[in-house]
Amino acid sequence: MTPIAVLARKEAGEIILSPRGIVWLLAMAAALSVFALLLVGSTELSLLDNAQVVYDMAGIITALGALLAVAIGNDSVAGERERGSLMPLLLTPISRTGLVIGKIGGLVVSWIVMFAIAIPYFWAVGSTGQNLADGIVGVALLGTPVVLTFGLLAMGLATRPALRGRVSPHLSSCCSYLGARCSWGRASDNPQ
Amino acid sequence: MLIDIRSLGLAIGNHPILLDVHLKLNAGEIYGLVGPNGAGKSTTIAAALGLLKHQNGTVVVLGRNPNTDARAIHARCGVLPEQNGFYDWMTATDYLSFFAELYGHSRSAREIEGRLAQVGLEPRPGQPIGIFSRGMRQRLGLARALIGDPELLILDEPTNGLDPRGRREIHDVLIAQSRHGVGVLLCTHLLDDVDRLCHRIGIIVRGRTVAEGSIAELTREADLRTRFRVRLGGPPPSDRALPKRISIIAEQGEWSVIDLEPGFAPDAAWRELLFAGWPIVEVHAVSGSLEDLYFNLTEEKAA
Repeated sequence: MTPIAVLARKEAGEIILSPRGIVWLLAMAAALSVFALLLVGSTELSLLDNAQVVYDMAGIITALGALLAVAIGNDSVAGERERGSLMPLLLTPISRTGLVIGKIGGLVVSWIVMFAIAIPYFWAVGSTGQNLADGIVGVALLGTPVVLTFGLLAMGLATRPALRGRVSPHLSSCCSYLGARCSWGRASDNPQ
Repeated sequence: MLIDIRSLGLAIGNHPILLDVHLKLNAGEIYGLVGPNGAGKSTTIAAALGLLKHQNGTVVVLGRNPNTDARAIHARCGVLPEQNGFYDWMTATDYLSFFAELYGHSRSAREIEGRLAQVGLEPRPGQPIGIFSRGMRQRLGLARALIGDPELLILDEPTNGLDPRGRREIHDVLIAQSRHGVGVLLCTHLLDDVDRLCHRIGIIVRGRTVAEGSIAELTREADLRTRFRVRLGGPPPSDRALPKRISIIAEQGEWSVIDLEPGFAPDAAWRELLFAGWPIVEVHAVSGSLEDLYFNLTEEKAA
C-alpha cells in the first residue's frame, strides 16, 4: 500500500472509529432526523409535492455534508496541529502533496459515510413518489463537488491560522445558507 | 558524518533566531545539544530536518541539504519531536504499524510487539493510546522514531515524564543504538542524561554555539576547579600531608571535600593521595561537573 493510501485509511479510521468522528456522524444523523421529521410531520411542509420534498432533502444532505467536511477538513490540519500529531506525520517521508491527498481521502470517506447515513432518511421522505432515485443521483453528482470544495477550503484555511479564525465561521454560515436556500427558500417560493 | 552544521543562521520574519550554530555528529555517536530555554535548540533541529529553511551557513544531514531534500532525510531519520501527539483512538500496535507503512516497511504483529518491548512498552491488547500515561506515550514516541530503522535519531527530551527505571531503560536503548552505528542527537535539559550518555556536547546560548566537544575537554578548557567528596576507609596519615595542588575544604566524619587545582587530572590526584597514605574508598564529583560547565558558559555568554 502506498503511503498516501495508508494515510487515507487512517483518516477514514479516524472518522469511523474515533470518538470524535462518531460524535460528528451522530450529530449529522440527529440533524437529518429533525429535518426529515419536519418534512414529513410539519402540517405545512407535508403538503409539498414529492419532488419538492426529495429535492429539499437533497439540499439539506448536501449542506450538512458540507458542514461535516468543513469540520473534518479543519480538524485534519488545525486539530492535528493543536494535538501535536501533525509534526510526527510531517517528519515521515511522505510529501506535503501526499499528505494533502491522503487527507482528502479522509474527506471522501466521511462524505460516503454521511451519504450512506442519509439514504434511509431520503427513503423515509421520498419513498412514496417517483423522485427518490433522481434525488440520490443528484446528491451524488452535485453534492460531492460542493462537499469536497468546502472541505478543501477548510483544510486550506487551517494551514493559515491567522485567516482561519476570521474565515471559518463564515464558511460554516455558507453551509447553513446553502441548506436554507435549497430547502426553505424553495419551499416558500412554491407552496403547495 | 551524519550531521555537519557550520555557521548556521536562521531568521523567522525579521527576528534572527540562530546566528552562528555549529554541530558535527558522527555515526555511532551520542551528541547532547544543551542550552537555556529559547537558546535555539529546537530551531536548530527544525533547520536540520528542513522544517525551517536556513538562510546562512551550511547544513548537511545524511549527505543532503535539508532545504532542498528534506524527504530523503526524513526517510533515514527517526525523530521524537517536542510536540509529540498521538491518535488516542488507536492501539499502540496499530499506531506503530501505521508509521511503519508510512516509512515503506511492512512489519508483522510480532515485529511490532518486539519494537514495543524494546522500549519497555507492553500494553494490554486493545488498549487505546488515549489511556496511556505520559511515560508510556514517551516510550511509544521513541518506538515510532525507531520503527523505520533510522541511521540518525533526533530526540527532543526523550526521558521527559519517565520514572528512574524508565529513564535507565531508555538510556540503554540509546546506548544500544549508538553501538549499532546510529547517530543520536539528544536535545535535553536533563544534564544528568547528557552526562551519562553523550560522547560530545554542544552548548547553545542566544543562537550561538558557545562550546562544542567532550565534557572532559570542555571542563579542561573552561579551567574549572574540580571539587570531590571523598570517603576514607580508615584514619588519614598521621602527618596529614597532602600532595601539591590538592586541598581539603571541609571534613565531616569519614567524608572530606577536596579541591583539585585547574588542569589536575582526577585519576592522577587519587593515585597521589593513595600513595601518600590516604585510604580513599569512595569518590563523588561535586563540582567541575557538566552542571558547573553549563552554568559557567551560559551565564558568561548571556551576560
